[in-house]
Amino acid sequence: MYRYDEFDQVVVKERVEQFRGQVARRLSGELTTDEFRPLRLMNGLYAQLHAYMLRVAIPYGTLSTRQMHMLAHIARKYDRDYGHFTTRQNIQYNWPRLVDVPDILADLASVEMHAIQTSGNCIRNVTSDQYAGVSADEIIDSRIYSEILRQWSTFHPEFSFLPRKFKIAVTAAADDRAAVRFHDIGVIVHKNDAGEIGFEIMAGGGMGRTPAVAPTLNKFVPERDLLAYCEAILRVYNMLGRRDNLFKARIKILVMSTGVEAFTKMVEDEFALIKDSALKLPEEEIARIRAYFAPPGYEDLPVQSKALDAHLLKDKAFADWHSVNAAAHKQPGYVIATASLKPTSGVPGDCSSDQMDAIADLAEKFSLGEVRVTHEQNLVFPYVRKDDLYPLWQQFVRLGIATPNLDLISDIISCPGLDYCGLATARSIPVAQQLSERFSDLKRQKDIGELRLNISGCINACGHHHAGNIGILGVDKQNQEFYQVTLGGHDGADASIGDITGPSFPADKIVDAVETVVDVYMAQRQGKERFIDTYRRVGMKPFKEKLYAAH
Amino acid sequence: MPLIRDGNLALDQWVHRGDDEPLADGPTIVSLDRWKRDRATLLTRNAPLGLRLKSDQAPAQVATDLGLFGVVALEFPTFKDGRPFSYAKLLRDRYGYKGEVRAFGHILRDQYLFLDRLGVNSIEVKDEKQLKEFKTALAEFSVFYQPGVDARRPAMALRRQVASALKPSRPDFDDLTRVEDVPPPADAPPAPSSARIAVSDAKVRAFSHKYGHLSAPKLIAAMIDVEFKGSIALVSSFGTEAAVLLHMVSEIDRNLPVLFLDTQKLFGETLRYRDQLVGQLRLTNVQTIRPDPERVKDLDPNGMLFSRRANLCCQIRKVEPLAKALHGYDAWITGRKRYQGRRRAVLPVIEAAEGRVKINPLAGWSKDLLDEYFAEHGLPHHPLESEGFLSIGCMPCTDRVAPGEDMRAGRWRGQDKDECGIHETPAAQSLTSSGL
Amino acid sequence: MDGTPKKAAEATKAPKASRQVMTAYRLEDGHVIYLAADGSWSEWIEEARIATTKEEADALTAAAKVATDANQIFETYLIDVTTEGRTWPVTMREVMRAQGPTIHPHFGKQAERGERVSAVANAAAGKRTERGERRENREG
Repeated sequence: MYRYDEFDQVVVKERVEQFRGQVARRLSGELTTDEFRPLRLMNGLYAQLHAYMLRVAIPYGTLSTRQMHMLAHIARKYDRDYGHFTTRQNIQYNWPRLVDVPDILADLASVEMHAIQTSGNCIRNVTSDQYAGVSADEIIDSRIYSEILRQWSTFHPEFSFLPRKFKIAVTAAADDRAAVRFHDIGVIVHKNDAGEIGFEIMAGGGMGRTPAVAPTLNKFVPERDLLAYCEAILRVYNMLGRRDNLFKARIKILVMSTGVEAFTKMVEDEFALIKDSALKLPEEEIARIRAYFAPPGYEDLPVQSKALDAHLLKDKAFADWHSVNAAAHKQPGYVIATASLKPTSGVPGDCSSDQMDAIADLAEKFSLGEVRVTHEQNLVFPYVRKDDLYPLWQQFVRLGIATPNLDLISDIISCPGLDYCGLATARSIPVAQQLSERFSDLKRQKDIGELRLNISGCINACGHHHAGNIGILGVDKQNQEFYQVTLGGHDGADASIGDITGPSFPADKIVDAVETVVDVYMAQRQGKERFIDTYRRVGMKPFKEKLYAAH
Repeated sequence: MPLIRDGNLALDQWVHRGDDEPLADGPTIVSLDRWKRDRATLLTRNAPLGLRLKSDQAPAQVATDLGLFGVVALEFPTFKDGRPFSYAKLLRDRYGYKGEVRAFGHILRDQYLFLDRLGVNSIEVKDEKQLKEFKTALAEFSVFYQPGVDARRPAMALRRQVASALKPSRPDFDDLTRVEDVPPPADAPPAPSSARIAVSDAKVRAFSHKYGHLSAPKLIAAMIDVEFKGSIALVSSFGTEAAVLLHMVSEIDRNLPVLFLDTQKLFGETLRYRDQLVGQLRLTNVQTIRPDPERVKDLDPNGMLFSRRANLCCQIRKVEPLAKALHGYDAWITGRKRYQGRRRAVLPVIEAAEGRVKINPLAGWSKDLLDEYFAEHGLPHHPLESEGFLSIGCMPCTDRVAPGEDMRAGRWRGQDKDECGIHETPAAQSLTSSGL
Repeated sequence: MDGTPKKAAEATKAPKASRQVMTAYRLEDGHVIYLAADGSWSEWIEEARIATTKEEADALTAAAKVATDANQIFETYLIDVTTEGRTWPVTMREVMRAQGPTIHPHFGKQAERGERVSAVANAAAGKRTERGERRENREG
């Protein structure tokens, strides 16, 4: 994985001191509330519902064991013994004191981490495929370009006061696991016939009030031009994006109102003027970063593991977990294992400091010292020897992170909702908890098969409900929690936005409503058809009929 | 309203004028609307004209007129409106505008650095106290990832430079720094870690064998990053040749402790040169070491000790403070070279000194090589060099050197002394003996 | 609060015939606080001073401004409360702030309220001596 060199280290160190100064200026009254707000937000420090909340970036989701231990340490020392992994490969602490935040940042800097630009109207943490570097379906490790973008976007002098927040995601795999089409800029790495790397670049995707699947602007931007192309998009957006209306300030609105063709032309014109500038990526720099993501020291192992096969035959619970939470690795003899942070009735994404420490120890022992955080709020062990999978799973069981539900209906993506968030209009996690109980039976879940269920507590859609096969949006109706249901959202390579079923459901009816949707699917599906495919085939009508039959 | 221009408070000769206000006689800034409306009249005025752009007025629409304006003033209606950042960049980069680019309106102190990076060279500020804020804000970061309009080089360029400096592309350097090939003794211990080590001659020989053949930058890198990580310092005089070593260090670890002995008898030029180099090389850990005021009060109350007992003067102003400052370090780097003559003619690259390892990476460098290095890296020369000072120490004891003279001939001229003592008196001993 | 919902803003506009209390966040730790009857800032809504008229609400706003200017608190606004049984917020959002996250009953005010609230309830019943003792305890 990437390691800071002296330049990177200086940046985070100086950032810590700058923020320490800003906090001191706020406490002394030199800065007012309004002046301090944008400064703290640019460092991921929110004033949330109950207290401050600090969001720490986990660039492209990659964590070393040292970093994971530090996250545990911070939870223990400055917070309440837990952290919450978010839907954008970040971790949030819900109870830090303002006066402690500079020290927290210093602790983070000591392990090459930061909270830079985890909020604010700037370029946010760059996210990527959690299987980068280990999946068989990728062209190259997408984190190389994520890291290049991370550096370029850090304290960008021109793009730190954009009309609105700006999110970039990168994938290099055929199966898009980073939801790149729902980002302000989505980057897909391709290789052309000549074997050269290039990027398909999309812009104007997003969730929120006006969900949009990003259209492609350019199908193959040469590798060396990645930054110039992104800079061109950002410049057009910075100058022309709306600043008069918060709800229309995202780049997707600019793309929609300008039209994809006209927008693309503006970007291409700007790009033509800057592509030969200092933004051109030197081959040495790409090589330097690439070297950090070279394959680790794999052992030469046979494809089959006798130990694994034996345990699969012997232990039914393990076999069940394996069939769901283990993924194929590109290296023979290795496997990708996902630890679930979605236990039945649990809080999706929550992780205690003891769990974090234990997970770090396990990663050290079983996964070459590396863990990945997913936007689905789970943790991936990317380098597990097949021979080690059984003992690793046993430890997962001990830690309560062995729920075999990856990509199943109880692997729910959820924002914090009204329990913690100052923007939320309804709670989302309690709904997730009830749903995970209702569908806790593993046999039933596996029978239902791949089904993404996403819940957001407000229109900002941090719970990605637009992209859920079943999406749930909490709304406030006369001080009562109601939940709107959408069907048919999807965030893979064939991304789509969910359709609203109709009137929303009261809190005590939403779980039944979801069950009704599942029942209709089970009745309608043909063979092994996934929910999304059934929905696309049969459409909304049968679901709607059943959902609103009594009305 | 006060104005910060080019890093200092400046008298603002420009006045802003509204669209229907009478024009001032002197330099006047008008809006884009007025420029478009009254262009012909404005061009006949006999005073400089400036242009004011609102945040929704991109400079593209006046690109061909820009040469007519002495200043382009960019308005920030609120600090959140980031459009003028792009305008500044375009004015400089795309339209090649060379005049003053000014920012005014609602600007946070924490945006000053961004403005500076994008070529804004003046800011209308609410009060003169903002100058201090401005200077602090500009010093908050020393590494930048993006190419800007300013002279700061982005990390990517610096990395390339470091990489090329570390590449063994100049074998001649290696030859020049090679020391006698002393085979290591049979019982040569493994290379010591950064833990405190007792330095024996045998160890130094082993060290020399392992590292003595490296070029200066590689040797420094190995010492800083591997052998003595966290326990090594550079001692620099910021004299005529110091820039070479400082430059090498700045490309390896700008945060390496650099100990600078301010004897309080130095040339003002040296102090200014120090600040210039620290700024240009962006050194982040230069520690200025000063004499113990008690000792000075005691032994040199009227500051004339140098004239009576130069050795004692050096002792309290250099030897003792350095001994104290080196406490806790296992090794230090010096800039001494053999060509400097006299006792330095036989200088090894790596030597033991008072329980520490002393590294002299430039021991084998010639004056020509140094000059070449200065030129190649665009390093500034010490301001006194052109005045004939080839080796610079404290003002009272440094004289010019005549052509043909040994370069250190100007040091303690007329005295039987050619070293101050930091390179020979056992530093640790003097620390004890002086009772510090 | 980052993005205080409209609801809170609306609440500040309609003081008539309602019962309101002033809420804010403490600068140092960001915790939810309320302007108490004795003019201090309390973590407990039960201790909040209640405004029933426009004038009283304005007085709360003025006091909040003083504390804001003194850099003790931030993001002040009035919220509607009921006083049936005890002083308690009306909206879901404010209930959440007064109580703590429902998904983590061991965090937030709910975790400490228990005994605390019964003491407050007694004090609110008008027993001056008890109230005095309680304040002493807090300061001690």
